[in-house]
Amino acid sequence: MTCSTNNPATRRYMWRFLATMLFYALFLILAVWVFVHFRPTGVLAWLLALLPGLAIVGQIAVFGMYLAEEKDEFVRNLQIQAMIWGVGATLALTTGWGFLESFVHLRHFDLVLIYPLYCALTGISYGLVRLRYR
Amino acid sequence: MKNRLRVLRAEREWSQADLAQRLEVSRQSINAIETGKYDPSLPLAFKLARLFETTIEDLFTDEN
Amino acid sequence: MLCSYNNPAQRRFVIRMWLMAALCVLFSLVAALVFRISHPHGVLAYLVAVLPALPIIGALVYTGIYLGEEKDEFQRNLLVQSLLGGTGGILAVITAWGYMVDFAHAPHMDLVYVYPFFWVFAGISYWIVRARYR
Repeated sequence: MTCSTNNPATRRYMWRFLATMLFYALFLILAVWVFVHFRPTGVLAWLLALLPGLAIVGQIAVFGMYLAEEKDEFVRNLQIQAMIWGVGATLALTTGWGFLESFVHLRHFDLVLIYPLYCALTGISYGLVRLRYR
Repeated sequence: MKNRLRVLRAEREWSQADLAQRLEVSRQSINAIETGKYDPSLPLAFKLARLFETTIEDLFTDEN
Repeated sequence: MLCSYNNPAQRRFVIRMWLMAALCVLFSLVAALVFRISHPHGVLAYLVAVLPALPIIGALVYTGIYLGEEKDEFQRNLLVQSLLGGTGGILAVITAWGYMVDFAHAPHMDLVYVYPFFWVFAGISYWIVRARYR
């Protein structure tokens, strides 16, 4: 999935992905700024904290749309294989780290980093899965 | 994808479970294929065609 | 698919998953006990701490094995769609929760719960996907 592509599903996905990324950056900056300057509490704090999370939820939904719209079944199959490896690796690492945190007080791993970790592992898996089909 | 599975199955008086057993798949799979909600892979499509002694093109209708 | 199965491959899978879940609980208790009684240090502490994660990794491996063993492509497809739904669900919820923890001081969630909640979302996805094929 490079920057130059003829596939309309891929192109649509990249624009939508860009949009969710922009919203994410915007919401994150907004949330940080409001919390630093105003220190809201209660429902307002929760709603504000929810904003960056919603942008990420949007990003996940956008990828789901891509999977449904991708007409090339082989490419879709590769993506799905990569996702399964990716989630498997993410769950394994997360669980291991979680137990280490509990018992040997390892450095805390922020929950929000799990999604980027998953993306990285899935990206690596995609490269490896594609190698199989050279 | 539209198909004649139900018709051919009825001709031989096989239930969905019978057909599933012959193909070594689950009854849900047969139902999903028959209702056109799931397209079988090539190997399974060939198995189906051979079982009904016909061709894939005769079994399945490409709507395009 | 918690207790029922259509074929030997599924039966093996369900039994193995329950076994791994039980082992995880058992190893967690053992590890907690060891840490309370003998306060291990260094490499030994890490090994004992990571012990409960091993059955989880086993369960992930068994899931992969089942995906390879299952001859019924439709059943395999159902599981894959469930895993994808589970992935989307858990990533969305965990990220939203993570930002609530960071900003709005929501109660922290232990990383080890990511894995079981993944299966909760996968289970929900399974029933949604099954319903579509009725």
